[in-house]
Amino acid sequence: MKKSIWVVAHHQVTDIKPVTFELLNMADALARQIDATVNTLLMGPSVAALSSQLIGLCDNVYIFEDPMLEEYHYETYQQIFIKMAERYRPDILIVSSILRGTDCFPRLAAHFGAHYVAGCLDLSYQPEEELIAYHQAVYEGRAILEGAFRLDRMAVIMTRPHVFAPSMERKRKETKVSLLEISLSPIEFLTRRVSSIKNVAISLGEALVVVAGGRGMQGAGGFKLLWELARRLHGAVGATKAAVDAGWCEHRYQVGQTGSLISPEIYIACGISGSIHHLAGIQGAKTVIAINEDPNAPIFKRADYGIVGNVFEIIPELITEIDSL
Amino acid sequence: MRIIVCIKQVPDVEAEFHFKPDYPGIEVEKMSMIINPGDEVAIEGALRLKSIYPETEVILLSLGPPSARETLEYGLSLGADRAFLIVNDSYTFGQPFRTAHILAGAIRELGFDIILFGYRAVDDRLHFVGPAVAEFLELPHITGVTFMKVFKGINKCEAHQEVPKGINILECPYPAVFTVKRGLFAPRYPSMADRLAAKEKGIETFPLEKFWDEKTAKRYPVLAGMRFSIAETVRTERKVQWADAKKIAGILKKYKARTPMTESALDKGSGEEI
Ligand SMILES: Cc1cc2nc3c(=O)[nH]c(=O)nc-3n(C[C@H](O)[C@H](O)[C@H](O)COP(=O)(O)OP(=O)(O)OC[C@H]3O[C@@H](n4cnc5c(N)ncnc54)[C@H](O)[C@@H]3O)c2cc1C
Repeated sequence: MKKSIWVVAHHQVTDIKPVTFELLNMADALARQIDATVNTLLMGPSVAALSSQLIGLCDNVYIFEDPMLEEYHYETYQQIFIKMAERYRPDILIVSSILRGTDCFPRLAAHFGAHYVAGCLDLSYQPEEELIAYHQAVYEGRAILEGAFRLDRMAVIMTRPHVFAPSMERKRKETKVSLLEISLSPIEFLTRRVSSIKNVAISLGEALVVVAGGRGMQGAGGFKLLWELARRLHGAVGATKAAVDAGWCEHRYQVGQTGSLISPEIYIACGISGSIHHLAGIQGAKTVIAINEDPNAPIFKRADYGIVGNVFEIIPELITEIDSL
Repeated sequence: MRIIVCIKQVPDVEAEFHFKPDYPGIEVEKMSMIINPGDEVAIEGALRLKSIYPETEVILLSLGPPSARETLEYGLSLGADRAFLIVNDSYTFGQPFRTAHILAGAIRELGFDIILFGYRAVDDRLHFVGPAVAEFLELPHITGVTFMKVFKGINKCEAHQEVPKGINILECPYPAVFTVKRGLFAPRYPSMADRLAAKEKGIETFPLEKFWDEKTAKRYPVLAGMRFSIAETVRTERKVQWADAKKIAGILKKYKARTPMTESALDKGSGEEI
């Protein structure tokens, strides 16, 4: 039987999120090597209309709508994926670590005793040995692991966002859209959300633009300026360890070897010297823009565009320019 | 109340890095070994709960080589009551099913109300073992917890879960599994006296065979191979193009938000309730 690769779509109210196209591109490349079908699972309280955005990008779109999906619960996901896997027997399930990937997919892999890959950077097929190979950053980004496994059981692959190019090229003549043939049993949730505190509109991992600050931002007040810039670009804010250690922002904003490893399209480094530890976190960044008053700062060796100057003059100027666009 | 905190001895990735291309990617003997940073936070969480419910017993559990005794001893010096080592021949990397299965076995043996893990291990970064143990023991789990409370009378836990865009406050009955992240629990440091007292407490051991055998191993997936390469820590040098604000604004044009995020969507520490 033909093998099958499944991808879980991410979406917002009216759009399929770009990360989905990354996952589909990854799935498509592998599907060609192992002769597999590419299937997208589109699930949510009301998602059927979004399926049109997936036409031509995969062989099948399976829609699953349920009001229970209004709110995330690993318990709902667990049940859907268990039933889906029992009904459709996917060989490979490709998901993104953003949103709640690391909350529900490890448990799912444990349930099935499935091959489990996290932080996946790429997938390929090695025909001589019939192995699926992948790369993953380990030891906080200091080394890269190349692992390989046999497709003797299901594989759950969790990828990092922005590492694979999204493709919107409609390579398939036909995409069949159907309903996922499973039915959910009522769930008595053990974990319940009582309330939420919303801090940011977009997360560091997901953002296409990241505006990051270092010691040169001189304080929490300086970081306010970064937020002002970021919000105009639908971006997120990042920081160096020096800025985090100084208490100007929380550790979850730290980028670098001991913080997040990110791959945004644009990385704007403000008052950051460009230490190796920090640069380790932005290896995947496509375009790096640096603002620093020291023309010899190492960050300029890694930057595509540089402005030599005081961040407290340049950033407001940049904001004015953007507002006037 | 019995809290079990699972901890791992890991290489200190911030110290000198001794790479090798074969498993496990490092020359373990040459690396300085420390407690996994997230696990230290988990111990702190357990000790905070103990300070509210003093009759609580905090038990540390580790699967590791004999050298992991040092890590357990460190945990005892912070204030944990007992420590158990499941003795393994060597340092383990990337064997998530084996680790989760063995820990689940030992946890069952010990008895528990609350089980804590670090959010992730800095070495293999799989985020796997905590949720997998929850699955094997059929318990609810909450991952990425930065703060938690226990309401003993009504058998309920409340946990702050860090999610990409903020914090969710969740509750669940216990027994339950939590993976803990650096947040409100800043780890404490032991005094010299605490260190000496920890040596007195001693470390109990479990033989590995009690929880693991060839037959069990067959149930779980194995990798056909692992190879390592050193990460290219610095991107290849680029030729910087000097620019001014106007030019940069032009590059950023396509990212300009049609409607900029409102101020209230920005991080202002306190946050907005939704
Ligand atoms: C094992 C290890 C792990 C580490 N992990 C990380 C990590 O994950 N992430 C990380 O970021 N760091 C990490 N570090 C720390 C790292 O080595 C650097 O110390 C840190 O990145 C420096 O931060 P910085 O660039 O903000 O500060 P600095 O190096 O002090 O640079 C500040 C820069 O701001 C410029 N500046 C000052 N004022 C202005 C102004 N008004 N206008 C414009 N420019 C100005 C200066 O010219 C300077 O270049 C790690 C260190 C170690 C040893």
